[in-house]
Amino acid sequence: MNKFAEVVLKNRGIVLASILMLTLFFGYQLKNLKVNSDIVSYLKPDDPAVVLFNRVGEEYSGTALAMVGIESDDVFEYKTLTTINKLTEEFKQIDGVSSVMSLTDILDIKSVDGGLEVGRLINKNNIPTDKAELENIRNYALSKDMYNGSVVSPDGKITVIIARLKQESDKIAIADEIKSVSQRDAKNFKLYFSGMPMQMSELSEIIISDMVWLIPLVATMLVFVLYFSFRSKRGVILPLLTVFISTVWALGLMTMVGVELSMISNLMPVILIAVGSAYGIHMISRYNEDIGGCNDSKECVKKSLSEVGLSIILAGVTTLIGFLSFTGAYLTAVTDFGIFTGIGVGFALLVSLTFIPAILSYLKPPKVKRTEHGKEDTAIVHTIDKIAQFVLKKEKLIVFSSVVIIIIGLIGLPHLKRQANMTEYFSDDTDIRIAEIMMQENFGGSIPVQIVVNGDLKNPFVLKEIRKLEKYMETVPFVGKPQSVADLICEMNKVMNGHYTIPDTREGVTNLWFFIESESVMKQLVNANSDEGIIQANLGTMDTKYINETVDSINNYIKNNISDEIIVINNVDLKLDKNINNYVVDEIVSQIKLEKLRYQVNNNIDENKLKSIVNEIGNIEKVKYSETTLEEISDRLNRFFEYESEIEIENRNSIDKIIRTIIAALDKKSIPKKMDLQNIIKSNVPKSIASDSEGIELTAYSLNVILTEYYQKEKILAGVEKIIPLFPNELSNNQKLRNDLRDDLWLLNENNFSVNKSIADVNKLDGEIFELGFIQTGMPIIFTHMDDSLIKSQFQSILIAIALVALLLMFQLRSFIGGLIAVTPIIVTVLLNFAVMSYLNVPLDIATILVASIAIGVGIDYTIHFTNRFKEEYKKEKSQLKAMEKTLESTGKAILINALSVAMGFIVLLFAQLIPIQRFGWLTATTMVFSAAGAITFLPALILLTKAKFINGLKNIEEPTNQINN
Amino acid sequence: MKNLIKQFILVLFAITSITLAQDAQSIVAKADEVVNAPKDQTANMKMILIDKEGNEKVRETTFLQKGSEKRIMRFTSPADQKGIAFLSLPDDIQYLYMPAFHKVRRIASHVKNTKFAGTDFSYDDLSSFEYAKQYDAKQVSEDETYWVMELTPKTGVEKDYGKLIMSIRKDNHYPAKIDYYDKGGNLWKTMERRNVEKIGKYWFSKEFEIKDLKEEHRTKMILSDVEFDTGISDETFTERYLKKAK
Repeated sequence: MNKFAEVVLKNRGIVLASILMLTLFFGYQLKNLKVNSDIVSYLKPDDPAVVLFNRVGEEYSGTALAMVGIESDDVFEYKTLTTINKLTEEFKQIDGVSSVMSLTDILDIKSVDGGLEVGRLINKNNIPTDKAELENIRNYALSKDMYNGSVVSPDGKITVIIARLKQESDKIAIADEIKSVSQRDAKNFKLYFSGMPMQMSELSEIIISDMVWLIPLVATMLVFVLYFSFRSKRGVILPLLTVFISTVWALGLMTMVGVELSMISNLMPVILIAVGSAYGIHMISRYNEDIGGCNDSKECVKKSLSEVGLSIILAGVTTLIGFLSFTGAYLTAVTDFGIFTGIGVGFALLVSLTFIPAILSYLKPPKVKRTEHGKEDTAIVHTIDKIAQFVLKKEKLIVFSSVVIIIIGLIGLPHLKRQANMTEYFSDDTDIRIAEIMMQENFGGSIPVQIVVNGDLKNPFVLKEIRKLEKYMETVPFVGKPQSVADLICEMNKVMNGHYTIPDTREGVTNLWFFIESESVMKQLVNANSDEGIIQANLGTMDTKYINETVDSINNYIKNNISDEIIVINNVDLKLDKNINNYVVDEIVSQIKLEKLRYQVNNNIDENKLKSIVNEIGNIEKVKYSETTLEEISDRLNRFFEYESEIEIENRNSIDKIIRTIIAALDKKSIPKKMDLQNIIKSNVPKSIASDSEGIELTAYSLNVILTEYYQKEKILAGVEKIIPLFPNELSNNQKLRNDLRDDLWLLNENNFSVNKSIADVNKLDGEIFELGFIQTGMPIIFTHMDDSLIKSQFQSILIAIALVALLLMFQLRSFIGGLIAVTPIIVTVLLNFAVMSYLNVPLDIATILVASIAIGVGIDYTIHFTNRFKEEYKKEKSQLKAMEKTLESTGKAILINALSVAMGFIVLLFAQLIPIQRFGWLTATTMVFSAAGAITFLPALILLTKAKFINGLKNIEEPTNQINN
Repeated sequence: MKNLIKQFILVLFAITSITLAQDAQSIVAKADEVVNAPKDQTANMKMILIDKEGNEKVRETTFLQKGSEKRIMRFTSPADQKGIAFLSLPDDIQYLYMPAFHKVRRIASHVKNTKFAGTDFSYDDLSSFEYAKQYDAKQVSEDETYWVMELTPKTGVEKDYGKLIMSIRKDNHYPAKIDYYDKGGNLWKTMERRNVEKIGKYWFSKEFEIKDLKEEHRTKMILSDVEFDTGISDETFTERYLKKAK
């Protein structure tokens, strides 16, 4: 150390010049400093969950959704709709926006006067002005799950415009443009901005404004503390300059290697100011002590530097270890933060040991006012005196209290909460949080959940499995209505065939598919080869605990209820095949039980009773049509013969007669045989037509199709009447429930079924095998990964830090046991930190995870300084108590000044806008104070109690007597 | 005197611009006429849908048309779309047949801006070729081979497009290329008619390509076995026929 001091002082000019050059160089780099608020990019990119999440985001453009909520008295007013349309069209023009969905541009599948319509809910080119027409649209939109709670709030007062952003686009720039366009063209409406890109935009603003406000505030705080302690200009300016230089270097280096500022990066300058100033403080403090004993300031600096240099280096290295222990954390933002703050600490160390001595050597030695005891006369000295008196008398009490703290801390440990969801990081009054709450209340939240489906999506049985999972998802709390290609096929089928189900043939699916294939929404739901697709839903909670529960319950359902292989059995007659019939009945029963959950029905439905009812419905052979239905059938047949029938009958009377005969036949048999139908036709048409046997056969076939459909519908509706009484009375007129039951029971009309492989094996069922797989992805699962990793990263970094620091202490003290004893104050501090967190409900998050390791890195400095000084004093004094008193008065004071300045620096973070940063601030401040308190109470008590045996070379220590009292 | 000359020049200018405009309108009308000239036509049409990665999907149809407004298109491949058929009649009346359910359904008329069967054509793009009726034409430039016209929708005519730029061949009045611009003035789609040849009495293009620049998707339509004026009966363009023919 002596040599180092000599070199530095000999070349003091060069040292100062090169520091200036380096500062200019790194300072110049800062012009390229960028902010990265893309939370997803903080995640470890090789985690399979992150890989899948990113792939789904890219291929289905489902992760980067920028949403604009518009509130008005009634969304369905010409003025509002015009504004929505204007914004929608304007958003489409923004570069990087891949598609925009809103009330004025959204797929609508409906049946109008028997005609099929796949178009738009509202024709954007011709927005209705007529009140009655608008009212109709309003009622229609609110009645459909596709819109209600998805683009328009249930009360019709808020609507959202959803812009999907391309994966590689500049999301913040787009979000900003969407915001400014909205504020310009919809300024008369209350607006909400939500979704990931909007969060990113607000986050980056916050990061920058926090940087701009907090750093000067922390610096000012440091100036006060330094002035209070040193009462000299150099005592203020030199440590401040040190941290300024090291911050510029560290940020400059970070920019050079292309690392961007993250949401926790603005802690870095604050930490460097708070922590990095310590090295300078120790240097100056020692110099002020030594100055009385030497004449030349250069000589004096050399003396101080060689005395305190090693301590400072050790302190710096341990702090550096504390930060580097984050390397390999799940969040790359945390790793980057650890590395560059660690490097910054290294720079602060280097500058403190070179820059400060070099400058001091140029300055005249200051005059120090002394009291009669030869001590500096400051308030802090008096405090220290009192503490020293206490410590030297009550060492056993102190150690005992520490043990109590350890126990309390350990008890609290399992109750430690975590918080991974970033929306919760914004405080309640931020626009993002307000928008998020609005989204939760009206649209089931804004956090996208996705299930990736692997399998042939044109296979009806894969789609049926999707529907099952979706129905289950609807019963999971906080999960909004799921959307998938299966729903669109069901919508189409409803328009074509009157029931919201997946057809049981591939041809049926592909026919419906054909019609919606080119809709842009398809690209968000299924890939180009239709062998992979996604189910999308929103999650309406920000609470990490509920997010975890949701993720687990969906995963469990997939694991337990969906087989990765299904067997398809075609052309089954349920009346003949009891085995499959039982399976189908079980399926229907489990679906009806799900309806119970979906409609929040609490009463118990007797499963066996339900089974026997479903069986009964399946066995209905003949249905009784009402007069109205018979009229309807007759109208339908009329139209059939007029426009559609394969044979063309021109004679009106013949047609009437045929229809009358068919209607009469329905009384005996619900579906007359094809032969009978042929005969009815033949006997009522002229010979010329009757001889066209192919035409007659085809016509009979068409008639059979029409009559079968009526029969199936009637049978199921009769079935619904039997099931409805099992539900509470207040639901008996609920048309939605009736429709859902109809769709559940529709399975009884089908001929092709799929069975899970395992069940098929047990029942020895043969059929075609199809594979399918469901994997959950989306933000919630990423949150759960982050959540798990928070705990893991926390303990990993603590263990690494404690182990390395213990090693270092063992080396410094040349004693294994000594090293272990010396780290105990730090362990107590860390446990105290966790105790505070668990008892005050402070969760572990992206920032508070840093506190423990910083506590270790910084707190251990106190131990090192303290033990070093004690060793030194003991050599001089030969009395443990005297040495301890001296140590407390000198190093103890420096520790207290340092802890105070550090704590003051961190407490400023309470003014930060992000909640984790606020928590980090006060938590670190408290921990620093605990740490210093531990170093000047617990540590000396421990030294006295163990008779300092662990401090090498002090083996023959005397018995502690209460000399101090004499 | 000066004023009189000035007025005269103004009037002259106005007259020329009107005649020029009329000229443009009649050129477009002539183009419509050329395209709609055959009494009836039958063909096999292959549609190749190409996405931005270059993945191709092929579908094949048989195609029947009578006059400019009656049309039947029946899918023959791929297998899972076989038999699906569309019938278009005047006044935007359209029917769809789905073989899986053995059902004919009317398609509501205001689906005009919806894309047809995965192609880049909207139903409106595919409806009758009658630009002079729906658009006001103005000539913007010309060269040796083409007149270049700017078409803007007539007042009261609802279109998704802000304007079209149509290049019409001078030798045969065949519209070789149309650029479709959105209402924001951005180029949205382009359509080219290639392999224009004279089959019998009529000029006909055997290959169309339409590109959607927003979606980065394009559709090629290739026609073969083209026959004209075979006397297709009106009965062919009915629901009954749509359902019957396999």
